[in-house]
Amino acid sequence: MNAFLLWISQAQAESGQGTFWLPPQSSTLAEKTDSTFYFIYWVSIVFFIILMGAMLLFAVQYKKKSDADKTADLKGSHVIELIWAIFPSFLLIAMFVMGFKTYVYSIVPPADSLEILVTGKQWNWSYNYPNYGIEVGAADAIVVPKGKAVRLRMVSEDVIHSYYVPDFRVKKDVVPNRYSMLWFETTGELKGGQAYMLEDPKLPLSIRGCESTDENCTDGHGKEVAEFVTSYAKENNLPISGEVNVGVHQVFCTEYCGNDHSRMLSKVVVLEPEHFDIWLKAKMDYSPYKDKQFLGSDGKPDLSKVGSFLAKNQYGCMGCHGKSTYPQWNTLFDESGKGQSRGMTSGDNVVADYEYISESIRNPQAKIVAQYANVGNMSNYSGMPEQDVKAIVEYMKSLK
Amino acid sequence: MSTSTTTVAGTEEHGSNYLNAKKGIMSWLITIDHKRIGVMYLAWILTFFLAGGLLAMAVRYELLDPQPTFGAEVYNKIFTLHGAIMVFLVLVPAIPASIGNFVLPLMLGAKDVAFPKLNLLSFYIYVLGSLFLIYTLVTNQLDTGWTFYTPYSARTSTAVISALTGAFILGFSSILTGLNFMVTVHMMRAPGMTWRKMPLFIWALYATSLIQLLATPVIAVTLFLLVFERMFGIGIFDPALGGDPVLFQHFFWFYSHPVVYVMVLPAFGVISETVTVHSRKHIFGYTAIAASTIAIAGVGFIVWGHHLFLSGQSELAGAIFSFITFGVAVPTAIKTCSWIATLYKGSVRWNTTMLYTLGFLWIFTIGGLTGLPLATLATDVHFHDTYFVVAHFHYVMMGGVLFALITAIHHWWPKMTGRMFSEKAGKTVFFFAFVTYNMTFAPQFVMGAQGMPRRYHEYLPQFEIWHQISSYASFGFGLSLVGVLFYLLYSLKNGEKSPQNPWGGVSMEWETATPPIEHNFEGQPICKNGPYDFPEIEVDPNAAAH
Repeated sequence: MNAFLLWISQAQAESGQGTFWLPPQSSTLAEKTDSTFYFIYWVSIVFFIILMGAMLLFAVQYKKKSDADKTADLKGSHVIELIWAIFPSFLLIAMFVMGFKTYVYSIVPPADSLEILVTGKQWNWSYNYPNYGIEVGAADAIVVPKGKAVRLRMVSEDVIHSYYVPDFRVKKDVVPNRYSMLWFETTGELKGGQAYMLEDPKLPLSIRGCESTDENCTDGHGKEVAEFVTSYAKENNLPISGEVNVGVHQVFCTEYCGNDHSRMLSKVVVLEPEHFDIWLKAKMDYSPYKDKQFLGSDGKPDLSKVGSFLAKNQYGCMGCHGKSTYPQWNTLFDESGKGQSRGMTSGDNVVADYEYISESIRNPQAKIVAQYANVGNMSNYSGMPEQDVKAIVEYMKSLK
Repeated sequence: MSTSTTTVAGTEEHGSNYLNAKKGIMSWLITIDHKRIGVMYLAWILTFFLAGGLLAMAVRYELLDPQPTFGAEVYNKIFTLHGAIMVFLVLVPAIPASIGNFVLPLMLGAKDVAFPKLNLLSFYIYVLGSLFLIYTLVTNQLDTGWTFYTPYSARTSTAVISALTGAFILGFSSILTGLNFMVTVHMMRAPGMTWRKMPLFIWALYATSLIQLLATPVIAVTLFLLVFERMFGIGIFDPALGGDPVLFQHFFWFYSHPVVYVMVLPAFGVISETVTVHSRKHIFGYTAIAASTIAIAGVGFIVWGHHLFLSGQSELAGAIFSFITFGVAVPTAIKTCSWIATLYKGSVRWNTTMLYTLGFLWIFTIGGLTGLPLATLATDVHFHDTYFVVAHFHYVMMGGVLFALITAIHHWWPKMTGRMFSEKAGKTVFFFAFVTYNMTFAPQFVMGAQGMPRRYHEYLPQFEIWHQISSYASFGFGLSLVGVLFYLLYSLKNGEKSPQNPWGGVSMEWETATPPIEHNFEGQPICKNGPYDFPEIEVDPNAAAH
């Protein structure tokens, strides 16, 4: 039996594909969970066939023939009753033990795990690598090395969420005021740096992680990470072996958390450990003010482009402001760059100028536009450097 | 010709049964007759079932397409109200308050329940509670999910307080009915009816009452605390006020897990009756079934933590709850095996009631077996809060309870109305209902195992095909339930008159007239035989000699 189960889960692991029942196995835990599942599955199938077979057989064979039918005087049998009370109990205990062992494996992370902080809030996930000082904004994917244990320490800023990666078979509630933990070690083959998931054009834009205006956007998380690593290695003459391959895995929120619950998605991007090290270095080194693609014709950084990067990738502003139910940035300034007047909950009208926007970033609850009184509280970015605020305001002005 | 039946029936039966003993709307509204109260419950419950069912259709309509149709805000309210109506207004009272109220005193050989006026009060408390939920529905609605999880429910702007007040009030109806039934079973059994001669449906109602009496106060307190938190800003569950959101989940499931047995134990009771009467066999293992009923009621109180494996409760607690949860599987397996063994060497009628009974066994077996990977720690981590769970509890709650309720309605329809429904229509609709039911919920197991989370109004396109099968089948299932309602209502006027004992039942409700007279029995009936001693049973002369 065990050999059979092992065979099933290995066959699945080698194919890198999901089966009829389960998604691809992409973590060390997945194989263990799946063999527990298949044990329960086959026991259930056998019992279902026995029970329903007996039921149908009796119903057909002893179908009423006439009013003169006689029936057997059977009131029970202690022997039979004991058999069907005790025999399944052993199987149940086996299920419990298998599930318990795997569960113990899943709750004890190895001591040398890479720690990543995960913050859930309505309605996005953001990440922080505390040992490297790296922030990953809500629009970006979490990047992890293949074959190394990764531990997520998670907390919520508002209501309860739940972090779920089906390919890894991990899930854990993310609760306010309290840290919860899950860990995984990824396995499985990495593929060429193409976005290979979620390219279906029927998919809602928000699920693809796109801005609401960009109809041609495909999910580029895997591709973006691969290109980021490749170009950094090239510029800094770092040796890099072969193409940068990635694995992309879907993340869901599975605890109902309000309106955009079904859009509270994220991705895990898996890199080879050597590529991951380059990614870490690149992330630590990176400054959008030096990034060539954001330089203007005069050789100085184009602040609106830098601002666009900061808003999307560093601070994760677009996690909310990219959605139509949230305050929209393209109505803040008119064509000439003049700030527009907006009605506040206090009843005052305030012109959207640099001071107002700077205050709204650093102390979001100070003035609230009446129209958006109910969309939830924005986190405060009191520590945002002045030059970043300037860049973001320039980006806002460039939006029409 | 066509008019003669009604006039003849009218003159013949004037004053002879509970339906026509008193006339006028007031004679119903202030009745203390358990039979009329049971019928009123049934009508009220079925009305809400229709409302909850339409909301279910709306849920499935939204999910036909991965893109939003109604949008998040509307969808969240639809699935919340679907769940809240189905759980609090339909499933909890479905069998005990309607069928139970009608049948329990008759089966015991009693004139009524122990406290007839309290029984009427329970009904009006139920109506009052339901009005609060209707008020919620027509004002600001509710978007918390039927589970009211904090801190979301402490913060949302929807009408949480009126919904909680409704659920709070409904709880009292449940408590009082439970109390009434327990006293009735203890005090009002006919002479000769010992505990071991009680029909198993009575055992089931007794165990149900026990749970209602002990668990419902906990949810009342919990909902009350949540109302307090919202009204006065006292921090109990909301961490922003210093509360603990997981505490709410413990309180909530301490009630809401036992309450699934409030829903399903009466269903078990119904099946124990119909599987015997319609196969003309004594139940296989009477004592084992009665004992496992009580065992499930007891063990059901100490498994609530299996809803919290991922919530951050201690891992040790998780392991203990997982182990005890498997303990529920044993008595459940005993029951299922016993029902199937009862068919052996019987004379099985292939009528509508028996078909629904067999349908129940099929559906409940699937529901029970798919509970196993959810009780197992490691696999529950993967399946928790996905469509696998949705499919599992719809198989158990909706399939199990609803199929048993339909079984019960068919079995006691002649007793309640004095009319026979069309067997041909019944059997035809059954096959349609059974197939569409399974096609609605079986695909949800697959997409759940693949990772489709619950309570999503938009989803990844890989799940589309499963959602579509499920949605189209659910529309078919909805239609077949309308079919059931149609031929039953049709029989009220046009059905054949029922003989006094159409199924040849030997439990005491069949000893009196059909429909029963106002005071159930002429004089005090005496219980002579067991509830499953059918005349067809061929007693082995050798066994008798012992």
